[in-house]
Amino acid sequence: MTRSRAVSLRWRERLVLRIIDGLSAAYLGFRTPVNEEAFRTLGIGGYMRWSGTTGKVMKLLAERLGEAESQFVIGFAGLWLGCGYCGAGHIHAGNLIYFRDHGALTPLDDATLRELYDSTDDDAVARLRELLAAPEYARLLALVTRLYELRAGAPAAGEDDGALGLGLACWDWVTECTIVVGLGRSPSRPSRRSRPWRRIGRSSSATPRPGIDTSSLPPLRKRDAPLIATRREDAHGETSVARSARRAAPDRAAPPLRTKSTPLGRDRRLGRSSRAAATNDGRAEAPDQPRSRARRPSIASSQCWPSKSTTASPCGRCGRSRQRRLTLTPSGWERGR
Amino acid sequence: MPTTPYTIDRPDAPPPVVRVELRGSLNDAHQEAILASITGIIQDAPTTVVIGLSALGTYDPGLRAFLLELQRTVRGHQGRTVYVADRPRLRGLALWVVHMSEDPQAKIVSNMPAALEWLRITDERIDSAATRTLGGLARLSGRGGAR
Repeated sequence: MTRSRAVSLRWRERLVLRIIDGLSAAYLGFRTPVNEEAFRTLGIGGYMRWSGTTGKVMKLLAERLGEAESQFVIGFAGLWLGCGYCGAGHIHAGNLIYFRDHGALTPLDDATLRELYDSTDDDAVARLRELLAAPEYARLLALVTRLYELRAGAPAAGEDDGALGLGLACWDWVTECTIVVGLGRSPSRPSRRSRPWRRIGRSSSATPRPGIDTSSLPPLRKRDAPLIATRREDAHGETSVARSARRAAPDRAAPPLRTKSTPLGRDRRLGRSSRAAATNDGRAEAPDQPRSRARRPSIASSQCWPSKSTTASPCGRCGRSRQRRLTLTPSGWERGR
Repeated sequence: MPTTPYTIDRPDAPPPVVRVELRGSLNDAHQEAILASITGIIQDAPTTVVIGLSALGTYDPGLRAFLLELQRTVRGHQGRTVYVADRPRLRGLALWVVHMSEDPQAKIVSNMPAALEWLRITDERIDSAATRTLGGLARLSGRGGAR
């Protein structure tokens, strides 16, 4: 601990905290409730080191273990330490990614997490073996049970043990601050106005993945979706899933694009606020028409706009350049491919 | 079968380790008795206190406040604390206590062998976690860790 909790935040710490909270609200859709405690415990420099390292660890684990698996591993590392905030949040995130990739959720739901939270380690492992007995969960089960073994003191030996050990060590560090809100608390509900929130809501509720029958599955509730956006939009505002569905069934319309905004509420390409820029009325401004601050262009599902990006690629429908966009993934913001 | 919801074991020979086992809800008299016993032991020399929580069914805010007071007392006498808990809910309680008491040397483990292992070294909890994280990151990524 680099500073005393008893000392109130200094003015510059409060200033940086407000900036980071604002960025969290814009990019993630909510203010991370642990930031203040992290500043109080670690100071500004310690917080930057703490959060920066955590981001790198998450990215590395996603590369080594897989996107969904890394979230489950991190979730169980936090849950083991008694942090309900980390445990529930990352396991829900893992479920969401698993749903995207496989069209189904794992059995690790809220009730199961509560049960595991109150179980001894031996009972928890036995219960996980029971829940994840199906062959499709073999990899997940192997990782999670190995996590419990490493926590119990088993020496690292296996192929994935390095990554698992890194996740455990990192979350030893992370939960030092998150435990203040994580002792019996579930993750914050993302803001309805956040971009990731809208993307999840659109893509998961309206357009099931082609080729996968999800009719028998319970609907993915919006409140189960933490802060992971995984869908890319093209210049038409159409998600990759919606595009696939349209190609598979051309007569089926893509879900309407209701609003459009970029992180921080600013359209970076156009350099102006985009909250009011997108409508779905089909009355769009011509792409080459001069734009002004007073009149913002409408972006409808049948229209493109010129791209200034050097990474743009031509649109398959109209031939105009298509903007690649930032996508929020568990390991951070990434450029769309 | 002991009648009190706790036991305090103090080995006669060094190293100075006191083991406190909590088994149920503690009333005010129990809490005062434990504090008095521990204070009496640790005021002579820095002592390690191993607090077993695994036998607790659940806990209430009163127990949380008591553990915080106990932790601050031990730390005030340059003592060291290790919490042993086999369930996440209890480990969360212990982590909250050591965090709020700002004791960097306290540790939460799941079994006694891990507790003895922690007592063998003199690391601080947060520094140890940061060092292991940065080392593991550097090893796996093949370059330096965080800035």
